[in-house]
Amino acid sequence: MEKARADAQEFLSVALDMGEELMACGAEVNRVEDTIARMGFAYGAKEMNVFVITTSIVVTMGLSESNSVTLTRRINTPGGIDFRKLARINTVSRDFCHGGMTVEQLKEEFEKATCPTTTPIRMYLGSALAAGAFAVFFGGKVWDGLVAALFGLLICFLQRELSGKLPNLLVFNLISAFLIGMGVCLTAKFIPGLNLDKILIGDIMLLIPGIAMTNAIRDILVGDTVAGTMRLVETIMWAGALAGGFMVAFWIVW
Amino acid sequence: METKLIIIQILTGALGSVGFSLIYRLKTIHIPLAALGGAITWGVYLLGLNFTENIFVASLIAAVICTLYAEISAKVQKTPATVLLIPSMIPLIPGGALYYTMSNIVSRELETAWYFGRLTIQYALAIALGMALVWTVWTTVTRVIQKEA
Repeated sequence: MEKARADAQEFLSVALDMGEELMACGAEVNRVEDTIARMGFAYGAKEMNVFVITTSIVVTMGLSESNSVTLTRRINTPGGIDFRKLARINTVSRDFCHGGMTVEQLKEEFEKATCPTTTPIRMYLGSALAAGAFAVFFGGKVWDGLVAALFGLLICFLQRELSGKLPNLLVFNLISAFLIGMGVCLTAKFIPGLNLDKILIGDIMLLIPGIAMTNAIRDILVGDTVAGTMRLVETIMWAGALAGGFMVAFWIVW
Repeated sequence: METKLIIIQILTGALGSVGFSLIYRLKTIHIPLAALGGAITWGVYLLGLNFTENIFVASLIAAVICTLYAEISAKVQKTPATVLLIPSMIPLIPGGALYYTMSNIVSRELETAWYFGRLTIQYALAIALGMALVWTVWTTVTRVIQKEA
């Protein structure tokens, strides 16, 4: 009985690692809950009680009438969205659920799935492309797109180098919005003919928590009210910080 | 709306989806799918806007079609639906409306700011509602099929 319990604890700890990593990669709350529950049943649990919100995971795995294991995990690092890693971890959990995999093998597969997935060049390229494309999309000219793309590179640099060193995303959004706002306003002041608003919109697309906000509302609509409300409040604060940063920049330059 | 403008928007919308696919680290083979998703989403939105002249309804329809597209292509590609859904949905994100809300607050045009603020919320609600709608129907249908099988 004690041995079974220790084994179960070891398994559940790996399952929580996977849940934490999924959350960090940008998975939805109910995907994380679902993944942990399915893996538990595949391991042989009689009952799985999983509760996930964006900042913590609580799981109780019932092995028999009188024997159960509970683990909780606090999630601190939001991390960057990484859909390649998400898909890999998803595959590992599926394979485990199909059976025939030991906990040792699961650990190995999971470690393989978490190795870095992309080069910085792709991130920079993506940021420049997205900012440039959206500046034109919202009505800018080709030159506006090029300037937006240039500042997109700066945003990517800030996200990679600065965001880890600041206490939280709120401060990061405030500072990066201020820096980008100053940069774009000054550029538009000295180079006539640029559309300041279109350039800023292109760059804002990289910073606004549009996806997180949409996900939050969807979480609320599909029944994960607690997780959804938390994230919604978070995203509104981020958007407020962005607006604050830009406003200060506007006031200084104009 | 001018044809040239429509083509430019659909093209740059798709490019924007490609940009975000790179940022969100999609597999290279999934990037064309995300680009197509972005183009479809914005195309449907413009069509919807043309017929209904209502931003909320148009983005709701676009979000529904986008989510269906993502669910189906994710099934074919055997990958989680979010992976394709999020980059395809990007052109609907109201970056412009949010920006004009902020800039009008700064220049003290509170009437205009309020107008754009409401627009931003309408977009966000419509997208979320569209996603939730498809998700609900999708789950129900899958469960019914699984029960019968």
